[in-house]
Amino acid sequence: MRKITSLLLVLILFAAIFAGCSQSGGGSSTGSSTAEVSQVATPEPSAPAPATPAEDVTIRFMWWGNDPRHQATLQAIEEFNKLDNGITVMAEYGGWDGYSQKVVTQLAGNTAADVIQLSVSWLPEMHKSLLDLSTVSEAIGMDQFDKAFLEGQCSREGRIVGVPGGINGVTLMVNKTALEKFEIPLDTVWDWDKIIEYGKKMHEEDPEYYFIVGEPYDYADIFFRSYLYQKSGNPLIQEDYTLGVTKEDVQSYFEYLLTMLDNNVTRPFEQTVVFKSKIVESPEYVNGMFGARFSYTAYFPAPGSESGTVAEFAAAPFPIMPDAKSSGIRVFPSMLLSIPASSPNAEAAATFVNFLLNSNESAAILKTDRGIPASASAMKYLVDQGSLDPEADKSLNIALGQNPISADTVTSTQTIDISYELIQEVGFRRMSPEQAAEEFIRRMQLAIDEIKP
Amino acid sequence: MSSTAVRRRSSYHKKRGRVAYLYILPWMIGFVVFQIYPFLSSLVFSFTRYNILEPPKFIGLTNYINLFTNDPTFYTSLGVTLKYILISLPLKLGSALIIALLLNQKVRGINFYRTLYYLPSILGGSIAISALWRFLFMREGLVNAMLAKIGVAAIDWLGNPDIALTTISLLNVWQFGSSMVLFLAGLQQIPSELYEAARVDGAGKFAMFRKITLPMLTPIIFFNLIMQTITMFQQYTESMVITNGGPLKATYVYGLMLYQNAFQYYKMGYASAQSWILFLIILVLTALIFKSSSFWVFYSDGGK
Repeated sequence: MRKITSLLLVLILFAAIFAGCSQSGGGSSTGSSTAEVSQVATPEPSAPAPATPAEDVTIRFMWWGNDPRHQATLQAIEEFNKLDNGITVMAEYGGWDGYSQKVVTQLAGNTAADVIQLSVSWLPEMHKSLLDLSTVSEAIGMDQFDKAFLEGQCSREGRIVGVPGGINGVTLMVNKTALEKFEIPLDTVWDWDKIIEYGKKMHEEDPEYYFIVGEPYDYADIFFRSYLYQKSGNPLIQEDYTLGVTKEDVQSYFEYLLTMLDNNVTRPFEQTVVFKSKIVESPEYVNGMFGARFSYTAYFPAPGSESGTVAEFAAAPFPIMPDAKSSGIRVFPSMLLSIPASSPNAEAAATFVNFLLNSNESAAILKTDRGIPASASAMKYLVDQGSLDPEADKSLNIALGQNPISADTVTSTQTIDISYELIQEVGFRRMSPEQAAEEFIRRMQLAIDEIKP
Repeated sequence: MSSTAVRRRSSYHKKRGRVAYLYILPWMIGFVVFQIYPFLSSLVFSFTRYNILEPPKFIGLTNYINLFTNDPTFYTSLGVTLKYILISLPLKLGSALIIALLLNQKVRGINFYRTLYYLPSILGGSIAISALWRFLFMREGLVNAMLAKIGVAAIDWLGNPDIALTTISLLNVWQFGSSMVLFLAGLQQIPSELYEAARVDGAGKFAMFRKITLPMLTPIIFFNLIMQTITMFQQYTESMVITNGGPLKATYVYGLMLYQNAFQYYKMGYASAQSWILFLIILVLTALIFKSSSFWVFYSDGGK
């Protein structure tokens, strides 16, 4: 009897192991759904015309996102697979955490998907492994994208390495409900002094409210960079691999940061640092106890979706200092769709990307999930259908009207971590603004030396 | 006599020897491919500049020199890791021992409690557990809520650079299950005649613990000490998922720095150099613990 039970147990364990092995795809955190992969992944045989000589091709598409994006994209893929063009698309998707590492490893081992969704900030490392899309420009429908945008923001070393999945811009998202409650005019033209002024007022009237909601990593990405752009007129690392900012520029930012903290315009770092890259999970965000957020246009919740907060957002112009040397408002691709140079199915991949970004069927499904479309035809379709979120559209238009600049072409993956750390040093009062500025310059110089070709 | 024996051994044992190698071949292949090859590759990479997507470029000892002279985060992370070990190790082994003592009773249902206390170490440093920890210890979290009930002001367990490391260590200490199981086994091996003899001699509970239990357990303590030290030096998942090295690098353990250098900055050569330095540190420390063992570890079977 015991032998039978133990034999049974062993068999069950084996079955469990194999069941676990067979489900791949998906990743960590939000959005990994192995069940759906198996639903879509069964390639549909191009049954109708077995006599057609067209070779059937199966290509893989990899992206990151959250559940709404996964659902919408899977639907779009299904629509594409229904078309009788001999191409079947298999989906691979997961959350943001660990995604870039996965892509780099796959590119190095030549096992990457045929269409990859990428962030512009990864291009310095990855661009050499990506196909020059001008070789498939017709199949991919390149004429739907603004040529200057493609050449300026989606290319490296003269090769167009990706097409924009959407457009993103730096913006100020304000909490309409809170502003009305504290009688702050919604049409304020913001600058850095007004932020302090209204911030002080808001917190004095109700200590539970802090005007700016954010955490140090957030600040390093948007707030820090735009402020420095405005002060110096240059990107952090210039095209000739020299530093674009001076110690005084950086010091003035840290001094402003301290003013913000001292006047309770934003929460003390001890409370927010634990929500790195996840400020939307913090109680103050969820309960709408804030006035505004330094943010991107893509963060406006899509119409009809769960916004995760009671705050009602409105678009407002990002603050600009009166004597700014540049607007510091970056407008850039929210993400790129690229094809690895090693892919044997470049034409098929390009055809799919064309469908996903330019076709009306896809636009109707995806809407603005990947940002406001960069494709002229998709944009026209959404405008005609009235499917564009008015605030997101307004915020992009505001950004475009503020003399926007493009994303930095020379970047180092260490920049944001250096900024993040020094912002914390100042915020936790461990370093003075001057010391932090000196340290910033020193570390950035080391980082630049490492990426110099 | 020796020559004939040798000759007979040669042909007979040689044949047997060859078959033996065949039997262990599968394991050997796995070992060479998945352990030896990466091990040696990382040594080679540590002398190069390598970002995965481009071929490695030989740069000699630059990585090692930069680590020791140009990178303050190297010393920060070493310091944090040592502090982390000094906090977690005594607490973890201490709790494991105390709980093992409590669970070493022939009470009905004791197996249920043993399972319960072992459960946390199975859960590991998963994302779910880390989210749980964040939820418990954030400013508006459960721990502060309970403290408020007894009138203690809210504490930033994870946001205050002075406390964050201790909070993260607690997660590690909570997973004392495997050490506890070993202690339990060790406790059950102690011959009961020793305790009986001690009781006859009039020894109290505490004296029995000090003079019998502890010395008899020293081999297990020694084993746990080595294993936990080696593991804790390499630990970084809790740090990465709960506080991501923050605030202000207060929880920036060595493993996290290594991971960031390898997979976020794509400095594979630099990270390989780091891993070899870690290897040497663990080697030296383990050798020291071994050396010291002859002074405090007691083997009842006279083993060395």
